[in-house]
Amino acid sequence: MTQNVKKIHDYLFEIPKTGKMRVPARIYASEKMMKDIFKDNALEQAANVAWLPGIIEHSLAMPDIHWGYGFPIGGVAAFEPDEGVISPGGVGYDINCGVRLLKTDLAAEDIQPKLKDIVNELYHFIPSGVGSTGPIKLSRKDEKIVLAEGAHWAVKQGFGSRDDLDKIEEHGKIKGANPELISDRAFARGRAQLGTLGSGNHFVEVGMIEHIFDPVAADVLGLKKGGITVIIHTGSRGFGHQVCDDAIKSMLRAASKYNITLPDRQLCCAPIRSPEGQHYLAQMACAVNFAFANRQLITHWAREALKKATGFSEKDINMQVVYEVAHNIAKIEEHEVNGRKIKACVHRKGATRAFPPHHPDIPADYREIGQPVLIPGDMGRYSYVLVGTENAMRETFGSTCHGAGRVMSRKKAKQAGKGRDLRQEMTTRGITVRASSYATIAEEMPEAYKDVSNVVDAVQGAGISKKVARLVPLGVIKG
Amino acid sequence: MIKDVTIIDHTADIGIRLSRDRLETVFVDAALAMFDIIAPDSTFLEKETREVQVEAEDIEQLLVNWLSELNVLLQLQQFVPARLSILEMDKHILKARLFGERIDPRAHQIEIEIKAVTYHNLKVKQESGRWSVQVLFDI
Repeated sequence: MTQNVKKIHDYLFEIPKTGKMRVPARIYASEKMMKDIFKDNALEQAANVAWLPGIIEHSLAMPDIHWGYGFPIGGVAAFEPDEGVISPGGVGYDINCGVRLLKTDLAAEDIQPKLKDIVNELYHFIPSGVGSTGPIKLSRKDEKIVLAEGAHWAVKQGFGSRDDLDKIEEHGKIKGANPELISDRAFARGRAQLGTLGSGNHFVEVGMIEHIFDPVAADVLGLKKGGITVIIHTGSRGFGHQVCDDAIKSMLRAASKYNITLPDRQLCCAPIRSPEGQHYLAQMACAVNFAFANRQLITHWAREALKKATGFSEKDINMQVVYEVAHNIAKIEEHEVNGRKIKACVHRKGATRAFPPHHPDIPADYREIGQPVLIPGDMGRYSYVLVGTENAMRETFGSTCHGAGRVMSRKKAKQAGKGRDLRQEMTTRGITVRASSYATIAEEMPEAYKDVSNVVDAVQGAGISKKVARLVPLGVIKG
Repeated sequence: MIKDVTIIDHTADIGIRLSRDRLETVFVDAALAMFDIIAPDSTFLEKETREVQVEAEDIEQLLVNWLSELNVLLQLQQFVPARLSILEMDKHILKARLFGERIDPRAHQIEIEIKAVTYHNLKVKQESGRWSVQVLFDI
């Protein structure tokens, strides 16, 4: 595999089409990052995706690429509407895992004295941790409405306002959801976990805008240096996991039925136009909407938590959605390929949409600058806001990276955390952390992750996104 | 903690590898190993029983469905088995009785949530008279 890789430019490498690959694979990364990327077999996975029927131009990988199930994480692949396939492995188990960024009118001095209270209130308001259950218990009938309406359902119930919805990818509700196709088991898992953060790398983080790279774009987004922000990172919880699990079983049968050769069972798929393909799109849409609703609920509780902890009024805090992105999703999008416009099925697994300026699908307020892209780093360093570019639209189906990626296994991280007081270490760095267990803090320690700046520098170097601002964490809750 | 199980320690995820003389034993021990990952420092007692039945197209999928079923029982009923007894099994069907208890936050600590049991590098094979399995969990 090492000998096979060609350098196209400083931030782009290619695995040429060989064997059963239908197209080449392309990896966006710096040369230095490629050395690490070679170590797990993520590149082989990127090449395997190229086997799938109807794949357009390239199997793509973003700089945060790492090994996943079937598709690598950081993988992007678009398929022709007629001969192409759809694959649950190209979306991931945590369907619509995504990130929401909110800004406030608060500054660091407003919250520094109250950081511990803020973190405690966030922890109190937002159910998190392994096995946590949500406070909202819905009937089957109401749960179906959540799956069809997404964040809109939450707003109608009084969680947030309509103003929140405009600044969410798909406006917080993706079309095409069909709750009648959802299994009883998925309903049961969804019912138990709606309104929960989850565990692992999911978090709610209060932070501050530490540096502005692009003052014009920052101004459009309402981001000011020193301004306090909130980031929410979570997905569709057990509901999405079950939808993916159900779909994989169906797609394993479908791949055989449609004579699709799979180098890896987790790449199981069906033609987009087949009943199995259409069913998965409709089921996936339910999970997408579940995650939109989930992040809307958590936003409401974050607003309540900040009010309670700081004593400021909702008007004074003025917590507004900047943008929300999905990073595990498959979408039908119009793209131009060799001069023709087609409705491609774009899979992004651990990758974020990054549409350019003037694209009709981004909020009107942001059309001059391009779609905001939110890239969370680890809890000890920083996160980034970027915008999408024309280059992304041309080269990566309007896609970019999604985060940092781990370098240390959870077991190694837990071992590295023994004998240390990680919470105190973070406090010394100016960051207050609360989690459901010490093990979570250890697993999520900054050293367990790559430096997200390298990932962000690579996408900027490749011209597929542009930096707008860097945020630093001040208070974090983890499951 | 169950012995003679290799933990496959991945950067982002985790798996198990084990071999046993009998097929039923390797399935039971794979389940116990999965719960060792989920709650490594907790002991569960035989206070309640559950019965499960899973079906599959082949033995590998049977392992995935078996472990998934147990994981979902944990998610929905907070039930963890201390002992598992297979009542009936072939390559397509598995019926078992579980003896365990529901999670009590005062006595038990769940450390890891398994999102899914995957098909990645999945192995259920008979080699030199022993049954070997390998399975990865998305966490």
